[in-house]
Amino acid sequence: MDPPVAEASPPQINALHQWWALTSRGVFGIVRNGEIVFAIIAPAFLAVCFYIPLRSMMDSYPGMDYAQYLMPIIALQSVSFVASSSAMRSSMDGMRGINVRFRVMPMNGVVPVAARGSANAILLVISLSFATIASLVIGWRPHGGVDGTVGLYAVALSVGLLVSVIADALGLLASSPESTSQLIGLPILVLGMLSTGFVPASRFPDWIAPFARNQPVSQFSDAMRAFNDGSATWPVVAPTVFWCVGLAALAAALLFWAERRSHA
Amino acid sequence: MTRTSATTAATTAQPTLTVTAADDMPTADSPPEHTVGAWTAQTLILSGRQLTVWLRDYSTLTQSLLFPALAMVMFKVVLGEVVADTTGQNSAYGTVPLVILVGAMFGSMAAAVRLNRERATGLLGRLYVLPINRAADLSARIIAELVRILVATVVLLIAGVFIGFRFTQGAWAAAGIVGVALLYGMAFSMMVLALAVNTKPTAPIVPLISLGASVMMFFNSGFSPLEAYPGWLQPIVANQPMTPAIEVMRSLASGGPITENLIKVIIWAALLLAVFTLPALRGYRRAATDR
Repeated sequence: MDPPVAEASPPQINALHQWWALTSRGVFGIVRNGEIVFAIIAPAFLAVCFYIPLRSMMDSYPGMDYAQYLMPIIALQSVSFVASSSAMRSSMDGMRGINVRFRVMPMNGVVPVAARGSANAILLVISLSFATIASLVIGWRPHGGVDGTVGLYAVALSVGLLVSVIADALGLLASSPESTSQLIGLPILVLGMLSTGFVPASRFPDWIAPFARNQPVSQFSDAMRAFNDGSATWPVVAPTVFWCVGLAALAAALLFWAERRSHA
Repeated sequence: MTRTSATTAATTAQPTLTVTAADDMPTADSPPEHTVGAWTAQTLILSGRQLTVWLRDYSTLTQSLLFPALAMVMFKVVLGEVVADTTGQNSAYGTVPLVILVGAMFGSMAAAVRLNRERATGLLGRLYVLPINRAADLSARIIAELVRILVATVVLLIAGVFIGFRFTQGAWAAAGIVGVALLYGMAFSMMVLALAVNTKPTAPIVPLISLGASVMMFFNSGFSPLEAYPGWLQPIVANQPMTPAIEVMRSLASGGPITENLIKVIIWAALLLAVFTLPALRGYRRAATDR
């Protein structure tokens, strides 16, 4: 009679360990691909390239301090760079078949999404830190006290995280990294430029001023400026809150769709 | 025995050889690869290939035409009134030339990416061992770039009309605008090509050139009037390659002095071509024969 064979107990699956491993992978990828360098350079580049050429023209308008005015869009554009790289990373993962491999492993479907989100959050914090440094160098100063400054960064971080999740989902849904690049790049370019981030709504032609004033990037910029100068009130901040709720709903819908399509 | 002499020997051994299977296949009486005739014919064929690749590459086509046109409209919408208040002139006369030059620069970088891809897949090496004139593919790339710049310039000039750009100085001046764009574009393309073939395919040469081109895009007289820049920066902005080209194009469209800026454009173009043509030729050969 054969001796009884001890059954090997299956390894303990720890979702937290898996999340940590995949987050580390994401962060190492960010460092290796040079995205971290871009997160440092991009805000400085943006600050220099808009502030130096436009300052003397913009400061000639009554009550305008262009360094103070420009800070929100520098932060928001930094956020958009993070979103772009997030989309490219998820698209590359899809192209290499890594997501398919994860699905056949004993891993909760939420783990890869959460890990990518965490890696994006780390990149977002780095990018916003350097956006702050770049803004301080050109002459921006926080005038809204502790509450105002917290509010300012709360808007930037909330928008950043939501847009990164949307970009991540779009990267999963896109057919190739090239199409992802254009899918993300075009809205960022249009909404960034045609906003009150660079020039006030009064300087836009009449036919496009209503769009420029009410589109999300303008609302985020205005809310951040209000927090920064201590004049934030509910009517000023409300559109930003509503846009964030809308972005959260869109992010959830896109992630759900991406997951559904990946299982099809 | 060299490849050319082997080909010649084969030709002399069978002087009556003709191919009847297809009319467009080479025959024994087609010109030897080292002749001007072969170079011309093969350059045209390979130029056609480059342009076909460009037209089929959606992302490059978008980068060359759609993004610049969009950027032009947005610069006009966002900064038009601010610039007009400062200069008293329609900002389109600076924006349109700026975007034409930016389109030429970024299109050249897309071509460099494609060159590196073809180098990595071994296509350059394959072309090099075929009985094709050594200079034909490089010439074809430059001609294709010029055609691309010409098409993009015409498209952007037409788009410019919709934002207030006008040709007030007649047809020859309009042709001069296209000529300046071609001269600038050719010089920049040669530089990008030389740098692309003289570095490893994995080197971040395109991102670095992109960064330089992006800085130039904001520090010129087309984006913001020269007097708006800090005093210490004005001489640099005034003499970087884009500013004189923009000013010549502006003057050709709306009137004004041309000579000084045209001389600067010619000097910059001649300098870039003189510095980068030979390295481009040598680097291309090395890139094609690398194993």
